[in-house]
Amino acid sequence: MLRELLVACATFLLSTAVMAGIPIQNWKTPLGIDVYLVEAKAIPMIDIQIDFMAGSLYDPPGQAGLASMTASMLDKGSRLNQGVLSEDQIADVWADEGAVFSASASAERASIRIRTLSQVERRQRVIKIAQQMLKEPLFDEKIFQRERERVIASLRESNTKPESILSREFSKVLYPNHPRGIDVTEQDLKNIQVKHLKSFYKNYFVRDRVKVTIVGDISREDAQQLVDDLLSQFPQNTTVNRDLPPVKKLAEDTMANREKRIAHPSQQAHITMGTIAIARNDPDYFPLLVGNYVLGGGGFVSRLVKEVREKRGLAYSVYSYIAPGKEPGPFAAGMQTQVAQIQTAIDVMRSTIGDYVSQGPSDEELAAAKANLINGFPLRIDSNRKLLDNVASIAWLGLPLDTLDRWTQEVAKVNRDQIRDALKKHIQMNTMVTVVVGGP
Amino acid sequence: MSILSSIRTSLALFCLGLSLTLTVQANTYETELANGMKVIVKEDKRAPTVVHMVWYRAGSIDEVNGKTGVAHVLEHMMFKGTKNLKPGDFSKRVAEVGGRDNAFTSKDYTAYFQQIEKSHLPKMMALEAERLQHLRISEEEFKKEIQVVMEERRLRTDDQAQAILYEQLLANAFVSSPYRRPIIGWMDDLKNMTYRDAWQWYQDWYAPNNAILVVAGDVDAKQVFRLAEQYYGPIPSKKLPDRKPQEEILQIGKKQITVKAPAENQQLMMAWKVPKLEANDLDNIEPYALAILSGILDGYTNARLNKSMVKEQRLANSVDAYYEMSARGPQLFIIGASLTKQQQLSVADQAIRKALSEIVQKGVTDSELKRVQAQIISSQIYKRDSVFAQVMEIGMTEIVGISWREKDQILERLQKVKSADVQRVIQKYLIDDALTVAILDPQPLVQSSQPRTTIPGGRH
Repeated sequence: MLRELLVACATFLLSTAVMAGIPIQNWKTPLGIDVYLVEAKAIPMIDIQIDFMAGSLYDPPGQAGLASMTASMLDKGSRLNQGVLSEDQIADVWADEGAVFSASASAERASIRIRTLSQVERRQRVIKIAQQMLKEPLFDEKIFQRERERVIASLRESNTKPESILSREFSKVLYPNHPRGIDVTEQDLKNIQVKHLKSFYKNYFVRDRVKVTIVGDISREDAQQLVDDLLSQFPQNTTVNRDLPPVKKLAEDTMANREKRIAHPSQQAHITMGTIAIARNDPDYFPLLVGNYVLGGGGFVSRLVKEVREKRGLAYSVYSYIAPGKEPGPFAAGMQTQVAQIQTAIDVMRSTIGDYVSQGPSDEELAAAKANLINGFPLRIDSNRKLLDNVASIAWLGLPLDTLDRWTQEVAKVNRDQIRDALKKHIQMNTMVTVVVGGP
Repeated sequence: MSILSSIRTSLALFCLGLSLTLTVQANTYETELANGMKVIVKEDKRAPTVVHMVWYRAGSIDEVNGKTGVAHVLEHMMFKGTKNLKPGDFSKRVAEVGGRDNAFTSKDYTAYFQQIEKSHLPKMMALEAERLQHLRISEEEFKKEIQVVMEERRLRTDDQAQAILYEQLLANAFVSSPYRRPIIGWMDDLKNMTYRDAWQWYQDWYAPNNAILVVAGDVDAKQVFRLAEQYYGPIPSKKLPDRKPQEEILQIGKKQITVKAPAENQQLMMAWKVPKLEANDLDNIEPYALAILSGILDGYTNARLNKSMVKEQRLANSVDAYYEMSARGPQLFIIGASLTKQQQLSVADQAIRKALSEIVQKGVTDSELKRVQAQIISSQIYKRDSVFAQVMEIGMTEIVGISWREKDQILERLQKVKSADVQRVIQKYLIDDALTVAILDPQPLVQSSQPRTTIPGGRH
């Protein structure tokens, strides 16, 4: 360890890296893997993220949770030559190396993340164990039963919490008849068997359309070697169809049909309202980003905070966001308030959002929003971790490599008319659904 | 300008191989203004951003009965206007320059921070200095904000079974120490608090001689010292109220409580009174041994408790060991478990005791010790990726009266802990007479359950 730290020390002294423009390198390895690399040598560490098209959207009907369960089993044992690399052995090696492995599934992707110190022998040992884990995961029956029990226990626990109930119900009303609206139930989890995990792994963890993002103390040459070492063992392609049904905008409806109330004994009711807005590649992305800052994205200075919290003391937390992805994603706003104030809170939120959507921001608000977003841009990329998140997102969404470099210019170009038009077009009040959990 | 000390520390020594230390202290500098405000700067020029954070040595530990939660309420009021700033203007000025600001209150301190592009540091100092000297608290603003704080209590505590359990655990484990009171305050105290209570708190504790300024990021330390002198230097110091020791009395027998709250899974928390790191006795091996013990029990995926209770015996769905070495008040060593269905509490209790007695009888292995050390060292390196985390580390060390300069020695001492040290602290401290057990008895969800009740650190 000492020698390694001494090397780190020298790197630290020599490096005065300033981030003027983010130099993202992107190329295809000899194996054909799409790699995104940011060399950042100031700290002797490397972050790697591998994104497979293997998220929960590919859960088969009746087996919601399969993608997550598959990802969670990747560090729980694998076949190695004639023997087995056990769950315990794997955990001990990662701990001994001071490295971190995680695997999880979100809607579109299954992400494997590795964080390691960059010293060469250590890095090679870490990559070797990752290779051995991913080559042929064991999906051991007994361990799977145990992990499923744990997931069921936490699902049941979350069913007692208003915030978890709300988040699932909100997805259901935002995405009717779409995999994004499907809820994981206990029955789904019980339907899942080891053979399903194995086939999901074989079918979806493939090299085709995988994205690898690396940030840290590593050269391009070494990064390429590392990527091919990790991914050579995966099948090139799959026979399953990975196309997804398109996300539809919500239709207009009566107020009564757009509101769902769920009783809960909690002291506070949790409230969310929203609609399907835009995809990340929509030309209205920047107008809506800036526009949402004024409404509820700008923390303490937003309209929602002023109206709900500062003027009326109705809530501790109130916010709005847009979450665009490959497909159109939601605009949503949320808060929590004591049960007696539910209706007041809903009315204030609706009228604040409605007024804003019809009028757009004032000149002063627009100027303040741009100033914050532009001046604050360096805070979005000032650590390896933040760079990893941003670059992995660029990789996954297929955005241009200069996305981060052009970001402040794009914000600067936005004008009031564009915001007003984008708000009217994408946040139609008569499509907005509201879910309330709490109260009688 | 009075630079009492400005020391460029261990990096050079370290690079020469004279010391096994990490680089926690690297590029860190300290001075103290004439009014008693300590200023600590950590240069980290990886990105053109800065964290500016002021720590006040005033947390819930300094509160008195009937006014619990006032430290945190004042934190909220610090955003509500000053002589020269209208309510809301503070955050607006920070937002204008692209900054992010917030604050948090803990048992031991209240801290305020801004994250900004580096050129805006002087403006942040001007704002923070303004509210340190010229806060205004109006009754009208207070009445609205106290409602916000009560909503925060409902959100973070009253509707969270686990938070109630923890609140009740502290309220029952401690008797004479103010650590028995929740940071966010009891609801009844919040309902009866007035703007005068908040104002008195501000008058008492908000003084440069009760504050530590920590700045980290792409800055030049000498320049930061000059700016600090310019903005904070003219603020007069105050005579602070006496701090009564309020030592915790000796516990003379096991305590056990049950909390009924809507939830699904049974929870068991076992909390023993243990020593903490004392600024005047940093060589005492016991706190380090307790920290290593928590790593042996729960410091990595395959650590003892997870392996035995979650994986092998299926007694629990998750299990954690928690010990904070440095704090102003008395400390607990806590083991918490979320039990599997139909599990007997006594069986889980026995399993935890068995894990401890196994260590007492057979010790811990060298490979376990090595593994825990590897976690400590790698996490220190990973921490360098976050300027904010570095500011937190400096502030949390300083606020309990331990110098950041000691941090490397603290890490070194952690690495010297032997199996026998771990055995000794279990035998000496993890005993029934010093134990409080808290059990969550999960209740079905029914309408109109009785009013219920944080995780440390109420955020603004």
